[in-house]
Amino acid sequence: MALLDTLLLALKTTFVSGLVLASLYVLMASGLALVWNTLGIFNFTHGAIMAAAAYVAWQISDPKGYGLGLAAGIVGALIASGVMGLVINRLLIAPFLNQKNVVLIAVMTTLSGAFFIENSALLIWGPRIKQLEKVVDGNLRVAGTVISGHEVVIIVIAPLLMLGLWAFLKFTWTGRAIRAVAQNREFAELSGIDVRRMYAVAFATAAMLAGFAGIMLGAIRFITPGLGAEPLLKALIVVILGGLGSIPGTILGAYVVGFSEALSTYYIGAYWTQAVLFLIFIAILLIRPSGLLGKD
Amino acid sequence: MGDVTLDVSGLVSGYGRMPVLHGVDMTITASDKPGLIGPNGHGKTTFFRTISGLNRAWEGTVRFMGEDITNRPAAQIMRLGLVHAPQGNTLFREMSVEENLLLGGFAPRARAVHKTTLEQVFELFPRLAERRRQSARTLSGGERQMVAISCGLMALPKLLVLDEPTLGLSPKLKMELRDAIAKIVESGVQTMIVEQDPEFLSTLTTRLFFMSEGRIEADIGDGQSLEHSRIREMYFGVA
Ligand SMILES: Nc1ncnc2c1ncn2[C@@H]1O[C@H](COP(=O)(O)OP(=O)(O)O)[C@@H](O)[C@H]1O
Ligand SMILES: [Mg+2]
Repeated sequence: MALLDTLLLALKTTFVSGLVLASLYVLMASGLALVWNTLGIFNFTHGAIMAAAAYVAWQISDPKGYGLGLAAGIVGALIASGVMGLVINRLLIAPFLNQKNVVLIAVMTTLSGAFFIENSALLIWGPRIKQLEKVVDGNLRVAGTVISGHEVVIIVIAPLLMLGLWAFLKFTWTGRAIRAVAQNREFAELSGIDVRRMYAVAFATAAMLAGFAGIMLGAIRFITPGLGAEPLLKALIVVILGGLGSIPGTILGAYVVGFSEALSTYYIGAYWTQAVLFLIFIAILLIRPSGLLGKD
Repeated sequence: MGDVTLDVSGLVSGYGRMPVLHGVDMTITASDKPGLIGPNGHGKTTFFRTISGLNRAWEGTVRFMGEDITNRPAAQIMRLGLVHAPQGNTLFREMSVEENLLLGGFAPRARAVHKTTLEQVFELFPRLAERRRQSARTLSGGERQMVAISCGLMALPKLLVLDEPTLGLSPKLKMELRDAIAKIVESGVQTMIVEQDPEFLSTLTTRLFFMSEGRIEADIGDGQSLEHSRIREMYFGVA
């Protein structure tokens, strides 16, 4: 009996921590997938936007900043993320869209953009480590394990946001137009769709998703200019694993990576977990080269 | 005669450095039922891609309803009512028939009445109503052409260009599509139909342009017949 109890507890613990990780990865990766899917480029400022959003939220909410409270901080940071997305798209991507090697150019321009944003954050907010308040205080006991209220919010909000994103892309004129541009740019133009405008909307939406991920992270980890660096790498893995650009694939990828990471951390140890993740990553791509839900 | 719908003069365009169109002149008035024929590879598609803004005009001007639209963005030209159903039914493949049609009516003027237009389109092509939830990727060639034409209709065109709507279809399907196109023409939507087969156009058009090597070589108006010896000579190589 005791053995069974221990086993059950272990399963519950890994399930809960896997769920938290997976939900975070959903938030981090969905915007990256949206941009890849629509514009056909990888946006390496994605992680820097997470960090910048966390700083802005801190600046607005923290008593050492403007002290306006967390709600104002979140709203302000989301707006700032959207604006940042528009500016990044306008300066670093739109001018090169008609170049043949736009994919490579965008890697370089967005990598430089990421350095610029991270160093600006360092210049503005200094090296002192900051942290955001948690959205909800206190802990919850779920099925025998402890989980913070903040993590519960992340677990609940991640799928809700994805539902919202799906409804936006599926049922609104703008959302449909974004998918149209992704599937057939020329036919979209012939249908009267302003392609560049749709790119801007998709990019801003993705930046807001990144910003939200950054705000959630800023209460669990410490806010540094590099806050988004490791999440960006994870998001890349999740997006590729899910099947480049496919949003359902990205969500599935996030849960696969999240649970694998939790299981591996528990049973094999944190030290080996990155290696295990890459093994799983390579194994899946060997079996399905275009990712879990990717099209061949 | 009536008002001039489309007025193209001296249009030159091509790919890379190679010109394909060598100065195309074409004037269409509101009362024309225009058609364009010409052998494969002589620039028909290039001509329409250029007037609808997908390819750049190197020289010459395109005027539509009196407005100079030369080298305007495709989305703008389309919003003026010059609607182009491209060759090879390139649809939004991963979307349903209905979503494709809705996107055809994306522009504000068309969006305002998209529900009514959708009903009219389904009346014209009942098969699309049955398949409205099906993804465009899974349709047959004929059904895809129906979607491509219908997307054009959803845009409330003032001039609808159909680039080889029956390419690769069986004779039976071809007839079916011809009847549908005839209904569109009858309903008062000016339609420019591009075909390689002059026979197909005989009942649909009153004015036939013949394109050869990037020029309009003949412009046959009402009353003149296709037996026109110049066409026979150029098209079939016999006089
Ligand atoms: N995308 C392209 N790139 C280069 N050449 C092209 C392209 N499309 C068409 N062409 C060339 O332009 C010429 C005219 O083609 P097209 O306009 O498609 O003729 P049509 O529609 O009358 O069959 C052909 O010689 C063809 O090879
Ligand atoms: Mg052609």
